[in-house]
Amino acid sequence: MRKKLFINFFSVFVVFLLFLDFVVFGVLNNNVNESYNTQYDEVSKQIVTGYNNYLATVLDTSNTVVLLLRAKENSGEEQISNVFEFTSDVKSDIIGMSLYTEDYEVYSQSTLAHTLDLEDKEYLFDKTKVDSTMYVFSKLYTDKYTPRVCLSRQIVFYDNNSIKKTGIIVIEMNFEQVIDMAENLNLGDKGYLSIVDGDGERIYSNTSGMEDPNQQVIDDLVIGTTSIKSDGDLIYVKISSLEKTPWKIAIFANASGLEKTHNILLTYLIVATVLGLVVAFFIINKVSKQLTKPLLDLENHMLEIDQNYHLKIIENEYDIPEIKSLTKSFNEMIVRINELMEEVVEKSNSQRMSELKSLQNQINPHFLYNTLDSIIYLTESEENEKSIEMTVALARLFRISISRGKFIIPIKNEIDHAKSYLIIQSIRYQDAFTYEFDIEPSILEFQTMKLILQPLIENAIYHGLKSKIDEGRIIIRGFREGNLIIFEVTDNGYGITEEKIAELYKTFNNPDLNDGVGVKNVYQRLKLYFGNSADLQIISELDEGTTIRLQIPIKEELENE
Amino acid sequence: MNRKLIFKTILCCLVLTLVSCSKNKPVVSILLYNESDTYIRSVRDNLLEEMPDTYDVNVYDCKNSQSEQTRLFLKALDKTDIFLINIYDRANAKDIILKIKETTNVPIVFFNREVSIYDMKLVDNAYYVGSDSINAGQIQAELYNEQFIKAYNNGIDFDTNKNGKIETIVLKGENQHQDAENRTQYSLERLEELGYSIDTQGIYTCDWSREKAFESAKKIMAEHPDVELVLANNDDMALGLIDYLRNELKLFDFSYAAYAPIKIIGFDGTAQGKTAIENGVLLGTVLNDSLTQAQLVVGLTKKLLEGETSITDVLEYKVVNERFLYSTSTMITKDTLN
Repeated sequence: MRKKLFINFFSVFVVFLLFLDFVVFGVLNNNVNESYNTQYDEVSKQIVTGYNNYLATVLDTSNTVVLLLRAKENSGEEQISNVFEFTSDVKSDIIGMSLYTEDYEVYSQSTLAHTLDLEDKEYLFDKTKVDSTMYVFSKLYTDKYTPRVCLSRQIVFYDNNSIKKTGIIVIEMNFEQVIDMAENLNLGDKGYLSIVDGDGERIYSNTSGMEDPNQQVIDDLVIGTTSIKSDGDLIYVKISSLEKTPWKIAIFANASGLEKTHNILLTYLIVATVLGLVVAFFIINKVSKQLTKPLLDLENHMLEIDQNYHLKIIENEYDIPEIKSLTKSFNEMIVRINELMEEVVEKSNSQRMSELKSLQNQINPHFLYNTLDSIIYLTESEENEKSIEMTVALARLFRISISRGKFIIPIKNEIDHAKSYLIIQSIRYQDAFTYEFDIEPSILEFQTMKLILQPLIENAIYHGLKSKIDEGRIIIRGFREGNLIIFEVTDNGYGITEEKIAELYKTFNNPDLNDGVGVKNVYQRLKLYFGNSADLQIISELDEGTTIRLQIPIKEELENE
Repeated sequence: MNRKLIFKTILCCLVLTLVSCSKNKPVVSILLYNESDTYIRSVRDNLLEEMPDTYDVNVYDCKNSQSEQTRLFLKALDKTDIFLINIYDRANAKDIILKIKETTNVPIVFFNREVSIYDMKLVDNAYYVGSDSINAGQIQAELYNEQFIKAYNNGIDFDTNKNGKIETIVLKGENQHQDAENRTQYSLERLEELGYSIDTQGIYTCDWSREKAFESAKKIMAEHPDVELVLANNDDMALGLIDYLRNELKLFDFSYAAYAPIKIIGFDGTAQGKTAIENGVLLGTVLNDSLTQAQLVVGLTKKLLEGETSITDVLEYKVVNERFLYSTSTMITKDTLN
């Protein structure tokens, strides 16, 4: 049982611990992930804001120029050129500005502006014409001059004759500043950023000159966040759009710190779990021992009783209330058993006492003296036949009385015993009565308790017939009724009153053994041995006679012990 | 044992039914650029009214930030069956379209902030609903013209300083917004076409905001004390300027806007705008029909969710350039309100 208890507790604990592990790991992991993600998000946001701000200033400048050109005061090639010049000088992020006519011819430029070639013009300007409200961004120019990107947009201006015209303005944005911003970033080992244009082409990336190894990732993700593995390191990827431009910026930051934290977390959890299990193992072992020890003790005590037939009361005190109450109940049971056993012993003793008493009655000295006297008298009178008969009967009587110590004898013997008694008494009392035996032959081989008929016959002679003047008669019947043997001893005396019978029944149940009534003795012995299946009844009719009726159960084999 | 099993099975079935039930309602995600914009609020309200109950509608406010809009968009991406997007940054629309193309490929209806045809054509199921901003800008000019003539016939000259020119200020919504740009450009152009000599003294960008317009008003009025006409790209900004003029300069004690030294014309036709016209402080406004636009958006939504492709018309409005649906604008003055 201890093993079972231990296994149950321990497995519950293991399950609980594992569950706890999952929950804790899950929650902590989530938190760690969240905080790392937030951290990278913040870094990403800052970078993006930096770029947005830069681009915003460029666009602001451009919009201002557009407004200026709208004003009639700034009409004509020269004026426009001045505006351009002034603006390019002041703003370091603008390298040059140009104004083209609707036919794509240069109308006016700042000194440092670069003229676009036809291919570029067509590419840019065709798009510009489609939507006059938005800027079109060119590809990155990386020739021998400063790296730059061109923004173009349709605008309204006034020519030399103050006639309103539509044209296309091109602003060359200094891309070097963009590159500088990128170079100053620290995105960790293997971290970098890429700027992608509206067509998905990479216009810049600071991976120390190498090709962007993760172009595919950028294409697949489009915008948003993800994480990838690069040579065993975890890399955090975030793609954000830049404001007012079709450009996107992809930031790759080294997130192996996150992985490391993961691993540390996992290691700690595993170590803690293992320790927990080991400690739990010992504690649960101890606890289950403590729980089962009193039960085992109890069990041992009970086993002891079995082997040695000792009905010992358990003296130990146990702490556990359930075991305490169990012990108490057990002890009570033992006490009760002891009491019952004593009762049995007592009953057994009573039975023996009854037996002894009856035997004692049998070996009644008066009876012996009187009978011997009768034998002497008969011998002296030379009535040899009668003296021999009496002697033989006496011998038979005592032999059957003793029956070699047995108290269960064949009915045949009991009848012989009764017969012997009657022979003696009838010789002694010289025809004061007659008797008759009416015994069913089939019952003779069955067993009965010895010395049950004689006392009844004695009772019949001394109480039934003693005051009878004319011929007294005793009939002894024995027959079978179902599974009972019935004996009836009937006399034709004056009978017993109802009250007297009732009184007699009362005395039967009185445990006092010393009132010497033979019938009572028979009753008690019968009851002791057979219990309720045996019975003794007194049936009487005044002036007619009395019958004492015995019933005992038939058993093939009655135990002699 | 038996009882437990039966109970568990019933529970499982219930859960599955519930899950599948909720999955059956199509999810419509509306991304607004800024819910504090009066006009956008009216579009939203109309959209929610017109939207059938059989759709599960979610509204997201991007608070004037594209990164916020992108973030909300990515969050909703997995569970949305159709996107209705009021894109904040028109230059970033392509990214949104491509992202949807790469993942769930659900239909998109852009509204109020126009997206380029090139971008929309990257997918089969992207459309735009808005107002015809060029035409609307011209209507603003025509409104002024009509009022000018009417006033002139009653002896009131809008050219206050009688110098033959109309000193004009434009309150611009924002740069690179199609409505702002076109309303500005074509309103001015139309006025010139109608023969007015317009002296554009300044174009001020006030982010469509009444508060911003109020803040800029001091500077504007200080630098341009002679201004005769204010063309605002929307009612909110017009009202912002009016707030300043009433509170600080104590103008507009007149009940009829024609008497005021400065004529102010708004755009959109919001409830506040109409009230201002009633009260005589706003000369007029041009209706930006948010109800029709909402109906068109919902009409498109229904068709797209049913799997229709190559849609040619919705509610008898024809689709222009395969992807554009425009509502028409009309002018609103005190006369038309009655």
